[in-house]
Amino acid sequence: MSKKAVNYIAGSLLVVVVIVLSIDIHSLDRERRRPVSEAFDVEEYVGHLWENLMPERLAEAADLSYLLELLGEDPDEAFDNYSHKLGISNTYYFYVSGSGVVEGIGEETVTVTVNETITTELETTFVFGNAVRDGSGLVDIDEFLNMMDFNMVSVYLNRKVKSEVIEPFMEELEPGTRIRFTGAAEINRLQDLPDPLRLIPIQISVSDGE
Amino acid sequence: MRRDLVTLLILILLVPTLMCCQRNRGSEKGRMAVVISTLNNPWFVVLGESAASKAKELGYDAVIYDSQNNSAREAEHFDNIIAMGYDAILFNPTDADGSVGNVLRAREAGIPTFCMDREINSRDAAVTQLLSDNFTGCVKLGQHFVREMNQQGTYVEILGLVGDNNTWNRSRGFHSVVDEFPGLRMVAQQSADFDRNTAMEVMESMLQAHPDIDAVFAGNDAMALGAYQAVLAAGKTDQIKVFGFDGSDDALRSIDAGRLTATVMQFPVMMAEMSAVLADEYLDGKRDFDSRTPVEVILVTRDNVSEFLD
Repeated sequence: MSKKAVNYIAGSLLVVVVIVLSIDIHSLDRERRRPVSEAFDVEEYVGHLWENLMPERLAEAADLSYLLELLGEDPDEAFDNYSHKLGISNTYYFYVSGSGVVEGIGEETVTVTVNETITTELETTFVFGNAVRDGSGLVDIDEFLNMMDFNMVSVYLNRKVKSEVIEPFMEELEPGTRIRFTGAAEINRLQDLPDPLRLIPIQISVSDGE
Repeated sequence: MRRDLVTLLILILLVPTLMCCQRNRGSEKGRMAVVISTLNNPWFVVLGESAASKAKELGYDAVIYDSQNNSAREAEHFDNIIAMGYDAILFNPTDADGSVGNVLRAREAGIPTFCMDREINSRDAAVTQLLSDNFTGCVKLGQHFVREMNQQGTYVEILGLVGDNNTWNRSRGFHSVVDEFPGLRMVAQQSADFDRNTAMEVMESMLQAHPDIDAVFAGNDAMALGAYQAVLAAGKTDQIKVFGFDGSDDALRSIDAGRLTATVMQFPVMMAEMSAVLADEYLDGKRDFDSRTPVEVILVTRDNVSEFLD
């Protein structure tokens, strides 16, 4: 075999080796089942957040009547003092509390009359998004290895809301029931204030009277 | 180990080139490299050209590198960029895990990297990562999907690149909503690598296996438009709703014409330009950067598409 042929074969082999070593085969099933991050226990993280950290924040929630008044009179102060937002966004999240009487039960929401001029809606079906997580101001994106871990915190928090707040509440609910509530609201700063304001309920209790 | 071998082999092949390379600071402020996962998709062309244009506007020379969705080619680009002594890299990665090593090599060589749109799985390899909030965008899309479908029906999903975090952030965001509604059932899920033609072929196969589906969720607009072509060819446009993601001009026009049902608007120009600005600030001495900055995305439907059309 000539030297030229040997060089040609060796060169070809080198190219083949480079190509083969460069190929990554991904199994779709493996990717689909892949844990978010092996080092991140989202259930434990959310459990700690829910049990130990969020109660204090919920106790500090803005009164709904006061917040709505402030949003009308001095929106900058309302957004600056009572909301949180994530990254580059016009969406702000608030923790809000109040009390009122259940007026009606719809497919997606429970309508609550707070007073003669204010009505709010508590989400019961579409409990999604980041209002509960980001309204708390407790979850720092820099703590997480990737966006998926960070986003799963919202998913698990919303599941807790569904199973531990909404489902038990719906069992004892009927129009005329007086309740106290604390929830998370999402408000876009560039759009008109939603009326009625919708909240994802985080705490609900039936109250005996005023 | 394998990556190291590939790098070694590439370096061997590049030695003659590297030997004759000279550090050439083409402009007064220096040079930025713009490394894009693929220029075979108009969305990434916009991302790359916007980043390069902004870098030039800020006083830098800028060169765009196309990785062609190939991590080996991306590694080769980084080798060249490091050898040529660029000042900063505006980077759209091919692989969330596989691209980390490239960014770390650049960092060791003193070249800061700023990720755009696509994420790498590292808190500190890149200076910062400017990322569309894909998961939350698909939560919004998922809620619209549920309402459009009246909580009933069967659908298929066409995924993007399986090694890209955006693929899974979008898919899991969508499923975090839709899976809560038992009347909605996914009958097939397949990757089409974010490519329009591949998606058309994938959709053709899916329609043969599942002719009675009610909807398609595609992980980007290019795939949604490819899927729509297959739906159109099958004569099922009245039966099957198609949902995409990106907010590309073609998709917006398609929604306006009543073809695609919805998409999610991203802001590639803003992300690219801001990445260049952040790189400029870094080179001017700023060091206080968040590891990630999510950028809000907006659901686009027939109700609001007119706001986004020129």
